[in-house]
Amino acid sequence: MAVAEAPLYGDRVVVPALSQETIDLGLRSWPNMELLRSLKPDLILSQVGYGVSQARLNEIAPTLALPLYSAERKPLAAAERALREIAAKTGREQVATEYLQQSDARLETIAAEAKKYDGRPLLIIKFTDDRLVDIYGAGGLFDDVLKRLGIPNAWNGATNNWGFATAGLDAIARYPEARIIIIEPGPPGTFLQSALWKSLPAVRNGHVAMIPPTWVFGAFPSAMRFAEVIRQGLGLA
Amino acid sequence: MISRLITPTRLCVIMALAAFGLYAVAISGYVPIADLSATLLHPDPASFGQIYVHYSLLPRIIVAILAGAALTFAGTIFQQLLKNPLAEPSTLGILSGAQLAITLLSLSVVTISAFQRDIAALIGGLVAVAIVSGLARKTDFSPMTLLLCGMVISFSAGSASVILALFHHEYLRGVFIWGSGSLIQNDYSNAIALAIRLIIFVPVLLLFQRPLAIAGLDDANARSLGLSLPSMRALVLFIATILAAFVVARVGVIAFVGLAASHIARMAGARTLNERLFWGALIGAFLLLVADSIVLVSAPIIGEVPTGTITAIAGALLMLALLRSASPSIDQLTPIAEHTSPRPTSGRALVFVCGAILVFAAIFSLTEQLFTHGIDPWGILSGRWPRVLTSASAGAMLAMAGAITQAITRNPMASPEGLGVSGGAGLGIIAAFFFGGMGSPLMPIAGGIIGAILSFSLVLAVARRRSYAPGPVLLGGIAVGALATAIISLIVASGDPRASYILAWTMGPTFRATGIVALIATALALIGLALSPLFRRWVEVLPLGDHTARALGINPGRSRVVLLLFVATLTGIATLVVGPLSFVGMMAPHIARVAGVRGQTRMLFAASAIGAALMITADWLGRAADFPYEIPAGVIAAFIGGPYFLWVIRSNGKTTSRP
Repeated sequence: MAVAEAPLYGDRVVVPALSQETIDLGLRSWPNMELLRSLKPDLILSQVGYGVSQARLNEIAPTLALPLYSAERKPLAAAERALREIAAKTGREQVATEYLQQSDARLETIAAEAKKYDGRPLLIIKFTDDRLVDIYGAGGLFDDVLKRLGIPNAWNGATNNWGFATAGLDAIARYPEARIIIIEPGPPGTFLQSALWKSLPAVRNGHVAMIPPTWVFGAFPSAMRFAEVIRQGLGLA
Repeated sequence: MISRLITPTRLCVIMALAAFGLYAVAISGYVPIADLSATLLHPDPASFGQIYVHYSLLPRIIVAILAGAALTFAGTIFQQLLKNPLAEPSTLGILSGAQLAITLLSLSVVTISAFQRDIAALIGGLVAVAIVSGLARKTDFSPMTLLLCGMVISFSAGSASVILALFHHEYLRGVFIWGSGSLIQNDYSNAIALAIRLIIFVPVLLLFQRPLAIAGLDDANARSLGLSLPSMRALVLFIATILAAFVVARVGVIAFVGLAASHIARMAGARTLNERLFWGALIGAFLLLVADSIVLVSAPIIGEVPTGTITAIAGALLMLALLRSASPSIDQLTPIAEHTSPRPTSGRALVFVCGAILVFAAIFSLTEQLFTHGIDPWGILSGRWPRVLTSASAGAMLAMAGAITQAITRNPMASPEGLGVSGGAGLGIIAAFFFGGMGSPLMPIAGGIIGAILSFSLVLAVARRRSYAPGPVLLGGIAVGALATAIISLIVASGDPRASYILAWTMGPTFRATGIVALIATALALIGLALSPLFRRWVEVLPLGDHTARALGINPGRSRVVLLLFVATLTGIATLVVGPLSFVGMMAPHIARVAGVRGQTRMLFAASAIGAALMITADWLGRAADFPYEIPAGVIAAFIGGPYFLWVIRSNGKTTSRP
């Protein structure tokens, strides 16, 4: 019925698409409580440790605070549990089970297709500007999906709570064997034509691919979207 | 004497050795020493190591040298020109003005070119300096006034940048990384641009070296030599600002290097203006180089930390150290003539009018749009009364704190936000988030209280030697505030999704207010109000000067500490509920005075009512302006406060020019 920061969602999360009638609740970190109350929701979904506390949301409607990024550092498994929990709360266990089965089957198919992939480990990066990149590794959703697909993730450095590290280009160069996957939007200007970028071992060997915007802090649908765009990006289709 | 052991030359050699040693360690990780000359001259395009050293590390070293030299050169000129030992591009608001302009620009165009960035930084920096110097001219560029104006401009520009960060975090991350002062380079474009600017602007500024050296003596001397001081000052200020803004455009906000280097140069024995300009620039260059080489070598271990953050933290600490030994001139707060109401009004009636306005604002905010949501009005009211009550009590506490601060400093621009309490509370809240998580709402409150106490103790420790004169206290507060800003900008640039949460907390989220917090805040505000008449005598006598106070049997140092503690407690509590940047503490007493309220007790009551009404209005505007997106009340108050501040200075100017 309503979601926080609807315009940003459309830009960066993309799937599942919001309907035209979805109401924008305001900022993610503190949605508009009066608007929320006036909508008289049956159920509020939030993330543990982010935004408004569960206790305050409970005053408005029953609230399910789901842990996605927890100390366990397995967001994909957490996303699956979250989905089942939502289903149990809304009495749609059947739909959820079917969705998860379909998703599992789809992941299996892509994993089978990935057998013919050359096995080159992936370095999944997103440019913050033309100097620093976020690199996705252990504890992140993308890393979990790659594990399911049987594709190795090159990054073995430390990552933060959300499963990514921020580093300069020299960090990429430490993985000469990797294939670089750039999540759009790419770097500003003509950076991809610069001598520095072109000298990266992976770039010299042509091991670079771009994939469309994908939400790294998402749950199961974002994981599925990532699997699909990686499949396209690696030419497994 | 230390100065015999430490000469500027020796200092530069030591710093250069340290920096280049660290850079050599970093470079040897990419290319063998044998290939170094090839790397420098003809890097092999097939070797990332050689290309990286050639196109990234070497330009980085050059940029660090040039930026450090340029910022210190400009800083030394500002210090000489304004006769202010603490003037430098960041304390004058140039850096934050430029940052705000660039942030605004990057929201309106898709990709921002280096040229556009230059122009934006130039406009932002010049506007900031024009405002600061325009305001400070009234007091003949008195050091205190200048720094307070610079602080207000920095806070306003900073709060505008923060609100943009709140609403466009995903899109502005690149701008914030730039803004936090990272020296990472991809090619020689920045190095060349900075070199050209230094080659043009340094000789131009050196043309003024003789008149500047004379201006440094005093105005009467300069006038007797036939110099038109105001026009020369304006011109030199203009050129030095351009130089500083151009550096910001290329490397982001690198605060305090100019301040630190010029003071080190002076301590190392550079006496004349020429010596200070030359050695200052060299020391600035090597200082930034040392800071950057440390950042570079430690990046693989602790991750990428922008160099600007390191310099800001080190610089803020240095500023606190300098305050202990700075010249006595900064003890003097130049009083600004008060706008006096021509007709005497009954004070008591005015206090009642203020109270009535407060009640009206509260009722309006509580009932506005109550029946249009189509739900039970009690549901809405139950969510609204805590935030209205919290806003009101925070506003009242800030206004009380402001009225006392302004009275004892005799400066209508003094604001309790400048005591370092707010910055410390902000840092404490951040620490609580990162070490304790966001689970319990008590964690940030505890963190905020501890942070406020620690930072205020730091400021008091610094000011102790000067028997807690208002000047050093406020400057110490500015330094702590700068420390908080640096750390907040580091978090915003880190990309952690919790950044927006922290931004919201530090900006005064009245919408988070709960019933219990509202009741506690109200109780504390009422206790403060009840206690305030006890301080009446001190507040009335202290502004008359320490001699008078002593003659009347008051220990000026001790009474100031007690008053400052009272003010700091009120400010600290208010900061925890509405955030650090409100200007309500500056505005409310001033409005009361302009309205004609006289007498300390009436003043406190009237100001409290006005402060409460202001915060309620800010909270309502934040709720209504961009529905359903909520803007923190602290930001709205700062937006109202900035222009109000300018208006205060303008009207003060008019009264002083009147016979």
